Amino acid sequence: MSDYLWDKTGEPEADVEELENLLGALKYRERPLEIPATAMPNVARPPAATMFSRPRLTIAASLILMLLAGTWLVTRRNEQHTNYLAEDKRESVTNGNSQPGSEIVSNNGTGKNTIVNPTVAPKPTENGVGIVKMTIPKRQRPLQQFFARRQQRQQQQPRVNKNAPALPQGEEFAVTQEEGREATAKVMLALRLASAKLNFAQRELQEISRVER
Amino acid sequence: MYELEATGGMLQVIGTDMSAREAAAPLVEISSDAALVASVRAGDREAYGRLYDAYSRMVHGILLARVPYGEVDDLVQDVFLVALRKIDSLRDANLFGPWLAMITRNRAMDFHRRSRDTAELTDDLPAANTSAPEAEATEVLNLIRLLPEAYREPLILRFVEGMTGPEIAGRTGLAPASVRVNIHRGMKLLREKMGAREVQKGALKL
Repeated sequence: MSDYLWDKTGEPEADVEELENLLGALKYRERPLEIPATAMPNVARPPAATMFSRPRLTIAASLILMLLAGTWLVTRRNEQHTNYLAEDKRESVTNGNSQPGSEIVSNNGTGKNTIVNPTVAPKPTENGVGIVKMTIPKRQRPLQQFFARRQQRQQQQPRVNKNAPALPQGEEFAVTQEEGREATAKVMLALRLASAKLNFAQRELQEISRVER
Repeated sequence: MYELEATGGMLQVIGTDMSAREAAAPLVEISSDAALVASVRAGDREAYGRLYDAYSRMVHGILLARVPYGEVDDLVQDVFLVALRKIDSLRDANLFGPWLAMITRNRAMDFHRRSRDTAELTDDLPAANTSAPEAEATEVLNLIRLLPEAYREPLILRFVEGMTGPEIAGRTGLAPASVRVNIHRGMKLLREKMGAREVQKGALKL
């Protein structure tokens, strides 16, 4: 079966032919395709493009960031530690409660020892080298420090509840105890009486109902 | 004789008897497409030029069914460049046509998405240097654009690009029976719309 609309075979229909002629004016006017050199697959790209490719740049940037973050953390920890040591040294000197313990020898000649306390006068030795006795502070974290101080304070001053009523002392305490016992006995007696009355009333009710039946 | 039942894009063929001629023609094209795609992947520019020659009308027609006439020519080039960049992602080289058609439809959608913020000039506005037949053609094109989406594409490919039904089916990868039904139903609706337009024009003249 011929069908001009479908495959252009057979007798052409007038309106179909007219539409073909009319709309044919809008058909694609072929123009050459402009393909950029880099758009072709398997085309070798310049070395610069492969060297600074996006994944490589991303990896490099993240590595640099990690390195910077690490350096910052280490520096910060060192600073904190130095500040802590300095603070502790100051405390021990001002309070004057340095405990005998390990010794740190400040040997200026060799430069091996690092801690020097300028507030304490060094004792001269045979070699003429200054010796300073110091206690090495045990390193504590701020939170541990806080709890240790709190515990110390609690041990020094026992906690007192100001809102609690004052407890009676001596004879007064004995009298109060006796009164309490008496009051308890009275309450118990009252409860027993009430219970007996209730039992009696219940029995009466049972009797009445039996008689009625 | 055969019976056809079509609903939108879905189509069921009952007792069909496809002619050997219709079935054989796209097969030859498909095998040559696969060879051309392989050459393109190996870096052959000329092979891509041949694919462009074979499919530029299809791409133009698909775009014309969705995008204003003035924008279509540039978008055709754009679609072929996008396809070239993505050609390694094409799994079955035999399906280059349907794959390209899909890229074209996506590109048309993308065009509308991007130009949502800007005021779009429709084809209803007469261009300054448009000839009378071209203006009339644009008018008919606008009538086709008013038809349901399934009919627009095959009608434009048939009338504007001058492709036959089997050619449309072979290039776009749609079932020939489906294309046939859509062309016939679309033509029926277009005749109705054109008849109504003629009546309107006659009434205006009176």
